[in-house]
Amino acid sequence: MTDSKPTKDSSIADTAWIRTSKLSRHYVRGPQEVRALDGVDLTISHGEFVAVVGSSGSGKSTLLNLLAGLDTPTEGQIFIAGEELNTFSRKRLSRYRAEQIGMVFQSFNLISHKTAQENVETALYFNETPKSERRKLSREMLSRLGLAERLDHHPADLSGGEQQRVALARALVKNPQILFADEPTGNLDRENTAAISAMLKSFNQNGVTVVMVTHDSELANTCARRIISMDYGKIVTDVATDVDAGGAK
Amino acid sequence: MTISDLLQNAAGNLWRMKLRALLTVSGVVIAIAAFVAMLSFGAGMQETISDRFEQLGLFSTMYVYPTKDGQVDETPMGRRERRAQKESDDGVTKSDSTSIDSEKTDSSQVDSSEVDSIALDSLPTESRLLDSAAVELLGLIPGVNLAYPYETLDITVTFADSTFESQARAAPMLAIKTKLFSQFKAGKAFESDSSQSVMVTDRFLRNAGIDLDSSEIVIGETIIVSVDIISIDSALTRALFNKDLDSVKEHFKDVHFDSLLNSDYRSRLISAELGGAFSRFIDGYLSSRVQIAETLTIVGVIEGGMSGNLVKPVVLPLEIGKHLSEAGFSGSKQDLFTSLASGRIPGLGSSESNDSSQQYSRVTLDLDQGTPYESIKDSVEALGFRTFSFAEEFTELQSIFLFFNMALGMIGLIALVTAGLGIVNTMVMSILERRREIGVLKSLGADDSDIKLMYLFESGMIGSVGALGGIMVGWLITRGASLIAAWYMRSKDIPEMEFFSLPPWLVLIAFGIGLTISVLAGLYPAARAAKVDPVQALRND
Ligand SMILES: Nc1ncnc2c1ncn2[C@@H]1O[C@H](COP(=O)(O)OP(=O)(O)OP(=O)(O)O)[C@@H](O)[C@H]1O
Ligand SMILES: [Mg+2]
Repeated sequence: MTDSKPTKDSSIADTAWIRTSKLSRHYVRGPQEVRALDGVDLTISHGEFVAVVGSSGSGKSTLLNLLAGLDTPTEGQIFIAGEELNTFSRKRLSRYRAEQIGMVFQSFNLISHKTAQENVETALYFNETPKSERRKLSREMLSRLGLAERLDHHPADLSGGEQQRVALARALVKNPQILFADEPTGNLDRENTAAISAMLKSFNQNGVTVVMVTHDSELANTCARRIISMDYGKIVTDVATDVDAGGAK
Repeated sequence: MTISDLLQNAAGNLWRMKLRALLTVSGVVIAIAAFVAMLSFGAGMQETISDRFEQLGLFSTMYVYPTKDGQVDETPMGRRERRAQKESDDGVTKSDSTSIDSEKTDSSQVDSSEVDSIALDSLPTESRLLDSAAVELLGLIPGVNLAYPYETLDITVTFADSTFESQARAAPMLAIKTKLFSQFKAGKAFESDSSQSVMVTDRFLRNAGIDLDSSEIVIGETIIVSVDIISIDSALTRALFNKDLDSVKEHFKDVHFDSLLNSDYRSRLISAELGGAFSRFIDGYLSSRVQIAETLTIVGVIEGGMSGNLVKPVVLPLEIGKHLSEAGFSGSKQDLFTSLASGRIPGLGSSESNDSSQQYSRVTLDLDQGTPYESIKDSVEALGFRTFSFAEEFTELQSIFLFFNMALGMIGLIALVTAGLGIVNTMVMSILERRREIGVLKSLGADDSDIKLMYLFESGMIGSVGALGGIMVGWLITRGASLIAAWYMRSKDIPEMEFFSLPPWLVLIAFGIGLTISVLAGLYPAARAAKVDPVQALRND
């Protein structure tokens, strides 16, 4: 695998980090208040590979969506590369998603009527990449993930592992600073899980900060350098693993 | 996202849901087709009339009439006014009022069929007689190519064994060359003002029972044109006039001449207040008629225009016309009155009444091409005359057409609103189906405005495709209807005309409206799509 050059932002090494302060997300359902996220303070440095674990309903996805700017916190703040997300305009927030981050989901969330390549290209629609460049970049990224033969296949014609690789290509083709992955291997078998985790690791080593939600503690242990476990919307433990650091300093 | 991205995306999405898109587009196609077909009908009618006007030179034809002042107002309103004034003015006697009552009843029967009631309402600045000096003056107005009197003769025509009543108009050679007299069906114009020839119109052929398609057969045929003229003892009338000219004139001012045709009223009037000499004069004037005739050769058949109503059935060279009309008074009652009111008895012989004293009830102006009628109208009115121009009528007609077109357009618009609702339905459906996709796009950095634009482009594309299709279908419908109409007109022997027209502005408007309605229809779905919560949409099921 070739080098992933962070061409877009040269300041990435100095500034790309994530910090939350008393981050809360509450849902009010009638008389009940669900504290999906409840006062989370968290700091992630640039180049880290963090796994977030916890039981179902503990608020992992909620945390990830807030960090990705898809959801808005009830309370607290999020700082990405020194900038406070809450202060962003709607447009600026869209640009943040379009340029700075990539997302991968458990259910792949590929657009079913688009081919693998078109799905990847879609990620470049919103960051003003010229059309010819879009094609080239997505081909390259798919080839890099071993899908050179699958460019024109539709998601339905691909295996789960292949689909998740397409999703990964889509998340990474724009060369993001941060990758948010919400149970990326949740629907995959052991073999594909290994392949995906290897890829995540590889990209992390090339400078992408990775925040991955998972149920799979073995996976967490094998790729993440740090494991955060959550329960009832709070961080309960935050430990470093012995996975050798390969990413940026 | 660039425009081309948006277009491609919209096309792709519509292509994917072909059937649904097709059905929605069909709604727009039908609506636009209806809209186009209806407005095409309006435009076609307008164009046909305009072409017809243009062809006949009506846009460059203007009629000039004398003003009401010092003249007889032939409208019922005018009569009533005069009568009321008379009663208050000179305290009418009992016998007088009886005669006036009968006048009232008579005048309702003998209505002014000869009078052109058009343009009677235009108010003059000063009044003036419409005599040959005036005609000359009118001819000098810049932009007026030619001014010539418009005189109508009631004639009797003998042609190929049949004899019938008709009307003739004499026109000078210069006028004969204008468009009005140049729509030849067969033959040509006569050579000179004095040639013993005549032109007839399609209406004449119809009256004579000749098939319009075989107009050529009448060329070279002989026609006898005769007029009934009033022949009275000129010596008597002259004596009568010289003796008491003023008092007779006074009487003429008060008497309505239409009513004189009623012999009962006439005798009462005469016995009531006038002497025997006057009685004889009136009787002679109206009763003893003599016929004079001209034998002429038909040289041309022209179109009468406006179903034969524009040009009188028979067109005579100027000199022939003069000969017929100056032999004695033969014209309309209005002309008679015009002359009498100014103290002149028509038909007293051409020796006495030279050209300059002759008055016309109407003068035709042929305007230079492209001269706006308003300026000529102003100049003519400044001279103290009233005008009528087809161009002015046409301007009015156009505003009627505008309403007509708007009414037709409204029907099309109703269909379009229905089609628009179809678009809303389709788009809302597709948003429900594509919720996850919208979520994905948002997670990839699509802004609300991007999502909105994507949906607006999609509905706009439905509208554009529908509008283009509708314009084509509408055009096909008008072609079909046109063919059927042509076939029908041919079978009924009606002159063919085009009912439909699809001018570029109509195509543009149809397209614009189709696009506008579809984009409007897309506004709500687009706003709804932009509001999709990505967190919800992307949730694992
Ligand atoms: N829109 C919502 N309305 C109400 N409650 C919600 C909503 N979204 C999430 N929650 C609640 O917030 C809590 C945290 O949800 P979240 O999806 O973050 O859990 P999770 O840790 O990702 O669970 P899983 O491992 O099953 O994905 C859950 O109890 C969930 O029911
Ligand atoms: Mg989750």
